[in-house]
Amino acid sequence: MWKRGDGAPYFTVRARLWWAEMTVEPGRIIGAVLAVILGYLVLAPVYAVVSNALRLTRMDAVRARAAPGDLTFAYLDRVLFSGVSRDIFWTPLFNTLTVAVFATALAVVFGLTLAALVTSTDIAGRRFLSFLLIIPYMLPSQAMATAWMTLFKNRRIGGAPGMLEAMGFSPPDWLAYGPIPIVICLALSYFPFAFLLFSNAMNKIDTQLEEAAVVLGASAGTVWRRILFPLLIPTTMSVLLLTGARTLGTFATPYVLGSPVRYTVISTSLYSSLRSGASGVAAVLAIFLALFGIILLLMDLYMVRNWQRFVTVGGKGGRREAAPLGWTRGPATLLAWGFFFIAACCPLLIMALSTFMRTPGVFTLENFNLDYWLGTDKLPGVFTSPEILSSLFNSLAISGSAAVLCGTLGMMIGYAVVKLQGHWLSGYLRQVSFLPYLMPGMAFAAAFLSLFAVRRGPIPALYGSISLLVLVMVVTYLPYASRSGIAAMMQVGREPEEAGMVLGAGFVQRIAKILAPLQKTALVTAIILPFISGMKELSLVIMLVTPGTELLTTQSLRFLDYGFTQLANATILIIGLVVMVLVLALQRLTRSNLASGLGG
Amino acid sequence: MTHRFWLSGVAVFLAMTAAPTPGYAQDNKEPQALVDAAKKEGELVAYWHSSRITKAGAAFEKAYGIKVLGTKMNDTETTEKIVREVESGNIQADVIGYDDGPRLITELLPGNYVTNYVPADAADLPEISRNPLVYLWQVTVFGYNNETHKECPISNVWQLTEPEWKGKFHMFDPRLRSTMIQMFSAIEDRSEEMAASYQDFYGKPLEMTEKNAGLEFIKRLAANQPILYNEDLDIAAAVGTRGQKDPPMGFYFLGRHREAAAKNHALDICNLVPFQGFAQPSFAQTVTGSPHPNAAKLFISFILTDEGVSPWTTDIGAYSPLSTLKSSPDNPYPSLEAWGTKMLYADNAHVTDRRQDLLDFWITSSRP
Repeated sequence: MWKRGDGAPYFTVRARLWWAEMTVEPGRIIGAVLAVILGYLVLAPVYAVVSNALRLTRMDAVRARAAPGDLTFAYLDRVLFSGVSRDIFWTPLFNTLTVAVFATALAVVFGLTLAALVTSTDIAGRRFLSFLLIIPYMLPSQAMATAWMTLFKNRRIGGAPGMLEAMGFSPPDWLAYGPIPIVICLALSYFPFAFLLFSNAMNKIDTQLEEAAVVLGASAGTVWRRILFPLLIPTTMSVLLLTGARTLGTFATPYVLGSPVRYTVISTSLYSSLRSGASGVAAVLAIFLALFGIILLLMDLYMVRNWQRFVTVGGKGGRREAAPLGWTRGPATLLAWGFFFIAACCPLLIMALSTFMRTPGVFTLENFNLDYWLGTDKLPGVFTSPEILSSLFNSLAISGSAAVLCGTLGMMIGYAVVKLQGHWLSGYLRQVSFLPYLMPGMAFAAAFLSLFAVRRGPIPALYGSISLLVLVMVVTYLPYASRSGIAAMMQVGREPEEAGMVLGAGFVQRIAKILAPLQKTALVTAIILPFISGMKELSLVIMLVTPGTELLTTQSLRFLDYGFTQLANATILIIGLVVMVLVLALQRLTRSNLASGLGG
Repeated sequence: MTHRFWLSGVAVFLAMTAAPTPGYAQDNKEPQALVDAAKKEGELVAYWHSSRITKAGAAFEKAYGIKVLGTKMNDTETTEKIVREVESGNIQADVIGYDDGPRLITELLPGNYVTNYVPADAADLPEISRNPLVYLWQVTVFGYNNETHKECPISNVWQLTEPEWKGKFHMFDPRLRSTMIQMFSAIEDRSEEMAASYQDFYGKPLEMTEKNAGLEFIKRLAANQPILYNEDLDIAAAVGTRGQKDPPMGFYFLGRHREAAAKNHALDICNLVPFQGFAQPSFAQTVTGSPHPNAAKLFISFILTDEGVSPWTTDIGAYSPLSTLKSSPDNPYPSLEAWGTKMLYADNAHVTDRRQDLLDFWITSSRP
């Protein structure tokens, strides 16, 4: 306690000390500011979703003779206990979990096998493969499902024959629609996550450990079982979290492949509920989806904490030599390239093919033409449609600026998390910035619309302008950027900055001279991942686009609505190609590696 | 027994024809003041249920020099956006085109999100199209592949519930398209006729496990596992693609037949009893407090003229509520009235009462 009278100078001294500390070491201020921003941008929409689940909508209020907005447990009851809960929740829940478990497991197996082949064996073309195998991730998720349909569809849904059917083989229903194709398509779309993370981890594992084991007489099998697999467990947990959460909320694939046999998952049930005007039920479903994501996240946290001691063992070791495979080299090469062909080339080729054919599925010469690209007087072509060009521009501008903002924010979060290690703010920033990954895009978009349609405090009404789309993307893709930022800052640690501090460098100088050069490539990956996702995004933005802010993905949907399937496919193709070229160029320019961006 | 139905059918019919016949304003009969005010606003934003808003917008711009930014949007998107725009005062849209009548009368109109505007000079607009204002009627039909089948393989809607058509009837998903729920409610409204038609066809009375014959039909149809869709483009393709040995039957908007030639589809309408399809009204409403209110009103007047509604009515399967306006010569009947009781009409108030129950009933009945 200080005496009355000398309080003022005492306070000034304290304030000055505090100010000096903060200017030298502003990590805490940055952390606090970020905490407030995230609190608003992430927690407010989450709160909005939860409150939608518990408040009567206007339509239901009329039926229930109550006021809209009244507290109600009717939606919860309908989802969990009503006569239709089996149809809208329990069966879809069972299906969702089945699909998620199998698709994730398959993606891990695919990713691990390919990563092992590419990083540590001498298969042909491994340098190319390390890029080519990421391509499936750059394709919009409906591409794979559409390709599957084109190939496997059968008489159940009538119409033009599928390719296999045209060749005289009629695929049975279980192969054409439902859980099996969904699992396969999801695994093929999401294995690049696993592939990236595993190859990154394998490149980092100290080879001295294996060498020591081999010297001691361990067989290759023992080396894998006793050394490599245990070391890969933290990465595996990361893969399980990232892939698992994605497959839980994924919409397009189960929608396309599941509806012909009424195979519903929670995300498709959520969509039906939204479409039939039951937004309260949709909110409840969204919460359950998020809950499963949160359980995954907690499992990941728990496992990472318990396995941490293994990771720290590694020091700076030699780079892994490619192991000669001997006679298995041929089959192994075939396997890896086969994967690339099935997961990347097939969907791309099938989509491309459809844009040249007047009637789908008819392989005669006169059926092929360039009308959908060049346009005719009746029909706009890709090159002559003003919408494609303007939506391409919008897509690039919006995802581009969102990605840059997101990357920067992610690095700042990484900085604050590392600086504040041990402080509760650090954990808060880490978890809250990951939360959007677990929320289904459709539910999130509606919440954003209600939050930002109106001026709130210093934030003007953003709805109707491009800035809302940018903001929504920043928040939604923050998990990628913050994971990447945290991982990168963790690797650098505090020491280089402290060295600078000892030498008298101020905050700005430390950032500019020490951190920025070190983190250049990490920043690039923290930008690329949100950029790819932004270019592919549909369910999140469909609610928020207004005339004049159409994106490529929403434009492709409009084409579908107008019945121009071929133009829609061409638009998806353009997205894939643009993303591929830009990512390749960025990686070349900055010599960065996408895997470090996922923070495995 | 069937009297009541016939009376109600006749009542609908009369309501639609009772209005005086003298031709509706050809064009520019709107008060000059409205035109001037609209021109001053200079622009119009429309959220529309149909992509042809682009064509109608271009025609409107040509007639009045007012630019129309029109986007196709489904009713859910439109509702989400309009409710939030109006509640926040940040209103983008001026006028909406909407299919979900029950939702309109329980949600958007009572909440004063949209305002019903009936042009003063639209005196011959029939009562059924006035409140809320209908600018377009589209008919859905049962269609078959006329390359494989010489004529429609069925003649009574009850046949769709027979094992022969299990998994071979393609229709809209009732969970996604309100049209189906509106139609179910209309079928329920005509239950007595459904029962009579069953007896006529099978020569024995309908054994009912449900409250009425309409519900019984819906239940049996659901149990027959139809294939469900969001868009009827896919239904028409599934039914009409040539070279199919055993094509399915489909339920879709008659408008799909307009692309049949271009897409090389073989499609024709089934002449079924007791009904051939459902008449789906499409509503036009002005958004309350929108930035271009006069342009919105002028636009609604415009789509009640031949010029304004022609993007829809030049094609088969769509009618203006004004029977004096033109319709496509390809239509089996020149006006909606001429279809008479072959079309089902939904009563918005009934649908509002029943929609949740009907949807749940459908969901539980269609369990495999």
